[in-house]
Order: sequence, then structure tokens, then C-alpha cells
Amino acid sequence: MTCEKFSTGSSFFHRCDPRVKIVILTLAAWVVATLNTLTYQLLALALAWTMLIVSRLPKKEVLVRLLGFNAFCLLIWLTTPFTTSGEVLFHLIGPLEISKTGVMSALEVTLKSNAILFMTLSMLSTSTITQITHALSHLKVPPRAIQLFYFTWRYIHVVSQEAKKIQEAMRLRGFRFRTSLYTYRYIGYFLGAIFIKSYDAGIQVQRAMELRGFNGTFWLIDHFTLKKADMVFFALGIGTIGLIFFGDHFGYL
Amino acid sequence: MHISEGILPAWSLGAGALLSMPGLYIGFKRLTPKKMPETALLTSGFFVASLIHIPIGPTSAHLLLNGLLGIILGPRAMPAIMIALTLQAILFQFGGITTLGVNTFTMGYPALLCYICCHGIIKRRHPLAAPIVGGLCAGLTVLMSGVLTALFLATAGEGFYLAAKLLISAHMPISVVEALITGVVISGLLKIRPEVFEA
Repeated sequence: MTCEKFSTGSSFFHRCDPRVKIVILTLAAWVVATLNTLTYQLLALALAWTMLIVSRLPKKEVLVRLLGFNAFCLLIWLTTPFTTSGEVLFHLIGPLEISKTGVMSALEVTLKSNAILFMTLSMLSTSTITQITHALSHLKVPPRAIQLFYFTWRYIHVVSQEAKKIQEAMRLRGFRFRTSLYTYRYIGYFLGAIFIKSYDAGIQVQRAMELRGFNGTFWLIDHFTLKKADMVFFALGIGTIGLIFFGDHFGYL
Repeated sequence: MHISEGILPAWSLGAGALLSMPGLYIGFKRLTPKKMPETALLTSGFFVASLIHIPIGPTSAHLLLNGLLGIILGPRAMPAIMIALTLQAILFQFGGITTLGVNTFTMGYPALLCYICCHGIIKRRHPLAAPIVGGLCAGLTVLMSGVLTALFLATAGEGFYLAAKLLISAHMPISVVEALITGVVISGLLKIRPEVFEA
């Protein structure tokens, strides 16, 4: 599995306290997602872009993510400008008219979603899932949610290894994906095999944990300490988010 | 298909998050420490399985599998779906933090409904009726998720109606394939490991 690709590095965001990053990201994502004015959307995108540069993630990988993500924005650009009523910007062929409000709302979506994507990449993807799990428990997220999250993450690799083995076996026997009932039947068997393996492993893990006295408590061994830089970043982050929120809703600038 | 960030207005994001709370509450209540490893392993199984691309005509799509997840995990499907969506948001930037509630709603409740509709029949382990009913329900679950996603997309305004309609039509072929595959999976699991369905 190609996961956690961005979590190794030595930038500021890699060293920053995950608790701070999670709090700031959650607040920032909600504020950016609900921005109404173009000025502040552009400002948010610029700030998020700066953060992405500061986090010094591998450029090629980031580009791949960005292109994949913006395929969705392309769908919006291909539909929204043509189907919104209101002032017509210009006529395309025949009945196709491009509306000004439509273009604006497509632009807004693109700006906001990319801003949030940049922030997620620079703040969340720079932590390992283990760090995120610890940070979430310190932030008092319900333990059952955290455990399910952590266990699922822990075993995705195991299950995907198993899936790869089955896939290899299928390929060795000359199986090819086509649009046919035959293919669908064998994909069904393939998925069934994945679920049986995960179910059996689940039962085994449960027994092993019960034997070791697991009663639903996860003890935390990583304790984060807030550094000076974290606190400065936290204060700056909250301040900026507040300014953007009030600026957008009550209109100064 | 999940909704990305930055499209929906605040009220609809909030509504999605709020409405998925009861389902999540019931689900987590059922998720006792004893059930934890099994649920997590099956969630990772579904996560891996939903990454497989299935050829449909000239294109390919990935399965949603929320119907089957509902059938196997019962009420615990809601938390499982939320966790899978969170992981997708972190690892691949699909969906997102603010749309987590909405996406849990559109994927989770149809899965619960699917469970309610067919767990009686599947419990009886009939070798023919169980896969057929289960498969049909799973196909309908995908359609329902598509419709719910489209409805949420439509709350973004008139300009998104066409995208919403396209979304529903994209779910139709997937739901047919998903019904077929789910039927095969159920019949296979009933033969080999029927205890999987004792949710």
C-alpha cells in the first residue's frame, strides 16, 4: 500500500505537535469551506499554498494528488457554468450559454477545495497515523472511535498483502479482468476470500487480546510536549482563522 | 463517490453531521471491546476491496460495498464507514474533514437499511434466496447512496443539479455490477463461513 508517503520529513510541519495541527486543521477546514467572498477565498488559497511549500513534500507526488483531486473540479466546471441561470457571460454553440454566477460558483468551489487540500497535505499527511491516533486520544475523542480507527489502519496492510497474494494466484492461472459475468463471479469469489481472511484474522486477534487481558483500554505511551514554536503556531493559526472568518462574514478589507 | 470539500453550504454540512450522529451512537454502542478486532479487520477488508477497479464496459469503477458491509456488520456498519471515510480523507484526500458527516450519512444509512431488509432472510441460510435477496438489496443500497449524495449536492444550488443527475446515472451501472458481485460473495460466504453473518 502506498500510504503515509508524506509523513517522513524534517520541515516545520513534520516537527509540529500533532494535537496543534489537528485542532488548527479542523477549524480552518470548516471556516474555509464556508467562505463566501472571493477575496478571502483567494487569501485562504494563498496561505494554504505557503503552508504546502513550507512542508516541503515530494513535488511529484503532490502533483499527482493535485491532478487526481482536480478531476472532480473539472466535472463542476463542465456542468455548473452551463446550468446556472442569471447573467449570461457569453454564448457558446447553440443553446449553450455560460452564466456568470455559474462560473463564479465553479471558481469558488475550486479555490476552497484546493485550499483545504493544501492544508490537509501540509498538516495531516505530515504525521504518521500512530501520531494522529495518539493526538486524537489526548484530544478526548471517544476511545472506541480511536480504537476502531487504529485497528483498521493497522490491519489494512495485512489484508492488502493477502489480497495481493490472491490476485497473484488469479493472474498465474490466466485470469483477466473483462466486462463479463464470468469476471464478476470471480471478483465475487476474490472479495469473499478477502472477507474470510479478515474475519478469521479478526477472531484470532480478538482471542489473543482477550488472553492478554484486553478490556477495552488503550494505554497511551506517547505524551506530547508543547514546544514554544507549537504555541506560536497555534496562536498565529487561531488568530488568522478568526480574522478570515470575521472578515468574510462582516466584510472589512 | 463522495462529496469533496468546499462545495456544500454550512447548513447542509452541519445537517449531515448532525443526522449521522444517532446511527453512529447506536453503532458504537454495539461495538464492544470483544467485537473490536473483528469489526476493524472487516473494515480493513472492505477498505482494500473497495480499491479494486472493476471493468464496466469501456471504463472501470470501484465498488461501494456498503450494502454488503451493512449485511455483515449490522449496526456496526455506520462506525466502520465513518472510519473508512476518515482514512480515505487522510491517505488519499478523497472526501474530507468537513464533509465527513455528509458522506457518513449518505453511505451509512442505506447500509443500515440494507441490513434491516435482509438479515432475516440471510439468517435462514437458504442457498438460493439469500444471495438473490442480498444482492438485490445491495444494488438498491448503492442506488440509494447515489440519490442521497445527489440530494446533498443539490443543496449547493441550482448550478449543481446537472452534476447531481450525472452522479445518479453513474451509480446505475455500478449498482447492477454490485448486486451481481454481492450475490456471489454472499453465496460463497454462506458455504464457507456462514458465521460471518451473525452480526
